[in-house]
Order: sequence, then C-alpha cells, then structure tokens
Amino acid sequence: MPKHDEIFGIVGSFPDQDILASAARSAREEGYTSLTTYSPYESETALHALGWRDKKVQVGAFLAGLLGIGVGYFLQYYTTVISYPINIGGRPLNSVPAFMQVTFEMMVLCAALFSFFAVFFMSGLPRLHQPVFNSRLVSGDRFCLLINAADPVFDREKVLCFLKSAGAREFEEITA
Amino acid sequence: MKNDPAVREASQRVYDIVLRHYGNRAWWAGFLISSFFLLVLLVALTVLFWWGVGIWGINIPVAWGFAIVNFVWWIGIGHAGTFISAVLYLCNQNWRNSINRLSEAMTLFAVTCAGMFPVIHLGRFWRVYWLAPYPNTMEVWPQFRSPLIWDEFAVGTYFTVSILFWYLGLVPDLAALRDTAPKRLQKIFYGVLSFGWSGSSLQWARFQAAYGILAGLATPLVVSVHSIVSTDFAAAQVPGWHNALFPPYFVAGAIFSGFAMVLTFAIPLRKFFHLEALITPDHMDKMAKVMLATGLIVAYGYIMEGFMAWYSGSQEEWQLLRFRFTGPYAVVSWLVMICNVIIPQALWLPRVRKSPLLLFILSLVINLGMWLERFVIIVTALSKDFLPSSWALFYPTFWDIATLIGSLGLFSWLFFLFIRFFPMISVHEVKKEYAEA
Repeated sequence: MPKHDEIFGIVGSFPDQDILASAARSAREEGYTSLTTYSPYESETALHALGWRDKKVQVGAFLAGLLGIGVGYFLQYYTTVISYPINIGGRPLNSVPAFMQVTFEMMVLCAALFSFFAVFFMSGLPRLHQPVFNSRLVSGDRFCLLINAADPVFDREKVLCFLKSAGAREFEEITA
Repeated sequence: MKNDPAVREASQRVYDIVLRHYGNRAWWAGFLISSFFLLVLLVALTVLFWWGVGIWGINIPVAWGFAIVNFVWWIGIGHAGTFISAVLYLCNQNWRNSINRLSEAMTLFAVTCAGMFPVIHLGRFWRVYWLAPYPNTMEVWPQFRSPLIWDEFAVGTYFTVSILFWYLGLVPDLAALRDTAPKRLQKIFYGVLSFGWSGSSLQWARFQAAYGILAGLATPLVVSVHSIVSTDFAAAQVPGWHNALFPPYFVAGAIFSGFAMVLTFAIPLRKFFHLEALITPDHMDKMAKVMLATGLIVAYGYIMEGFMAWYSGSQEEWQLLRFRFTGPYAVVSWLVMICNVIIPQALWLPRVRKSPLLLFILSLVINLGMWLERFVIIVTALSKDFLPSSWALFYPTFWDIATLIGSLGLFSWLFFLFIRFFPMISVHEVKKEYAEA
C-alpha cells in the first residue's frame, strides 16, 4: 500500500464530458479545491464546471496587436520622415494610406506571436516531465478528473468513494 | 455518428501512418519521385546562381517572367489552407476538421516555394538582406510605399502566422503520439515537440482562446496578403495591370487554385492511406462548391476586365485585350478561359462534385488554368505596354520550366516528409466533431 504522501493524486475517468462536468461541480461542493479535469479535445463544459473565468490570452493579444501597430507605424514614420526624407514630387512624407499595409501586418504578427506563446507560458509549459504522464487514464484519451493529494481535504478512501459515486468508471492512483 | 467504428479506425490509422509506417510503399513511391524533382530544382538553382538570371527568358520589357508567375501562383495556392483553417472555423463549418491540418501544411510549403522566387529572381540574390529595414552604412531604408516591400512584410507575416496556427493545432495530437508511441525514440521526439501538453482543461481553455484569435487574425490576413501581392501589379501604370479590380479578383483566384491543389493531394492521399471515412464524398462536395463559387468570381473578373477595357475608352487597355486574345499569346489566353471558366462549370453537377476521379482531373485542370492566368496577366501586359518601341515577346527557356517543375518537387517533398512525421488529419478536432454530432 503506497503511503499517503507518496501519492500525487487520484484520477477517475468518466464516459463523457457532461458526467465529468457534474463530477467536477460535485467535487467543488464537497470542498475539494485542487482539481484538474482532462479531456481528449476542447471541452467548455468541464471548464465551466471548475468555475474558471480568465481572459488573459484575449486581452494580451489585443495589447500585443496595439504594440504591433505602434511598432509598424513608427518604423515607417521614422525611416521616411525623420531619418532619410526624400522629396518625391512634393508628396507628403508621412504617406498614411501607403503605410497602412505594413502597419496591419505588424499588428497581426505581434498579436499572433503573443497568442501562440501565451498558451504555453501561461500553462507552465514546456514542462517535459509531469506525474500525470505515468497515468494510463490521462494519457489514454479519456475524460478524467484528478484530485491532487496536495488538496487540504484529501483523504484516499473518501476520494475513491466520491469518484465512484460521481460516476467514474475507472480509477488510478498516480505516484509522484 | 457517435463512436462510428470506421471513423475511429481511420483516426487510429492516421496515428499508425506516423508511428507504425502504415502505407509505407505508397509513401516511399511519393517521397522518391518528389526527391527526384527536388534534385531538378537544386540543379536549376545551382545553374542560376552560377550564370545569373540570363538563363531565363526574361528581357526588357518582360523583366518579370516565370519567377514572378510562380511566386503569385504558389502564394495563391497557400490561401486555401488558411481559408479552410481559419475562415471555415469561424463559420462553424465542422467538416473542415478532416482537411484543415493537411491543407494548412500545404500552405506552409506553398509559401516556402513562393518565398523562394522573389529571392532567386534577384540578379544579386546575396544582397536580399537589403530588403530588411536595418540601420546600414549606406544610410538607406527600404521604400515603404512600394508594394514589393509590403509583400515582404505580408508574406513574412503570413508564413509566421500560418506556422503558429498549424503548430498550435498540432500540439494535442503530438501529445497523443507521445502517449501511444511504441518506440522510446518516438516518445522522446514527440514529447519534446508537444512541450509537455497533458490535455488539462486549463491548457484547453488557453488553446481555444488562442486558436480563435489566430483564426480571427488569419482571416483578414489571407485577404490582405493576396491583395498586397496583387498591388505588385495594380499599383503600376501599365495597361492590363492598373486595375482596381485586382485585389478581390486575385484573392478569389487564390482560393480557387488553392482548393484545387488541396483536392489534388487529398484525393490520392485518402485512397492510398485508406482515409475515406474521414475525407468523405461530402467533404469533396463542399470543397467543390467553394471552388465553383470562387471560379465564378474569377469569371466575373475576366468579364469586368474586358468590359472596362472597352468602356474606359483607353486605347492602350483595349489594344492589350485584343493582343491577349488574338496575338501571339492567344492560345494561352483562350486556354485560361477554357480551364478556369468553361470546364469548372461541370461542378454544377452533383455527380462531378462527389466523384473523386473527376474532381481530381478537374483540380489539375484548374491548377494549370490558374498558372496560365498568372502568365497571361504578367507577361502580356509587360510585352505590350505604352511605347511601341519597347514591345517584345517573352519565350520561356528550359531553365524557366525546370525551376517551375523543381518547385513542385520541393512542395511534394516537404509534403511527404510532413505525412511521415506528423498526423495529417487533426484527430482531436475530428473526435470533437464526431462526438458532438
């Protein structure tokens, strides 16, 4: 029998995302706070059941886009108006319509770069070794709920009982 | 469609192609043929770098020949991938889930081939870094009012955003490959590439946010990139080029030829790797409808060009139209009309849209027609511009053709490498689509 403090957590797998979502909700009601849900594809239901609301990626991408606009426009303004102005037929040096193309592209580039890297850095990735990789269920393409041993109310028997009552089909103890 | 065994089997096959070399013979055949044509490209480039652009048929006034035709053609082909990945995603067209990975990969390789041409067509290609806005001892900057510099930023951004979008969608599948890989080396390879993705809902939430943002960014990008490429011509004054119609007409043409290229690859792939359950006649039907619609827009473009050449009263414009259809390049111009306008009308028939063989042949015809259209636009307009003393014809040389065929080789070679090492269908998106059906 592995000792309590060697367990990383206990995971239960559920047949679909709705049952997983209700299990997650029940777990929060039971007082568990250190929970993670896993799914083989995007699942909004499970996420909302965990009560998670965060728009950091979206806000950050917007700000990155603004930065892109600034950088793109400033680059063109500086080079054509300040650094090496060339008088071409008396036309305005600050060629606003012509500058819009590069400005737009820089906006898209900065927003896209931010969004991509935000997904990983905000989730703590890259992290090439994680205890859950030892789990047959989490790696096995199922809807899973993990209750971490680090949770203050964690008790091995109670957790197993709870998962069973919430509708879990399979269980696994993950060792750290 | 929930838990349809054919779908599950085909999804597993997508992983098996990568992990267990399923379909090995077909893959080797494609890879070796592509490698041969890649060698053709390498020879053509070596000769080009040694002897210079004089080995091509370019002259004054037709200073832009095959190189720029190829550049515009390849970029156009890339647009279908982004259309499928981004635009169809935003329109909630879930049928795109089976084809978006391979078409997005096609975009990357098409943009690679495209990006090669502006570099190699420079007489002194080793000076290509002059295009970048860096502080230099000559104290000059790029001309930001020029479409050629807009191209640099647009195509560069397009390539970067396409890679990011493609790779983001790949990560969950790479994680699945890591988890199911039979060999340790494969586990390490895909483990590193997937950054430790575990599929937790937090990761999925960020993924979904970023995916939506990238799709929303890629959509105006796909329109802006080919519009900017079209301004390479539209911003000039030469008759036949100085046409406000060009941006929408080029973008529609890009999606038209891009979908044709997707079908050219997807139809043999589904047959040789037995993925018929994932790329169904329904998928082909919908892609064919998009091709029909964009083909009609291109046909409208042709009609408008002709009408405006007459209605504008511009002698030079009218003369160029007559030159195109009755002059030395008449065969090419009429072939364009046949390949892009007349033959694609067959797509009105459901029987044609759902038949893999007919659609495959049609896609080859459209690819050819769109290449010829770029040729007609670029070469005929340069050949006969304002001043009669400048008029001259362009004849392609062996090296022009070799470089074009070689670029097809590079494209296929990259594509076959992609199929071997990465799942060519976005399995996690397909699972989602079938679970929610």
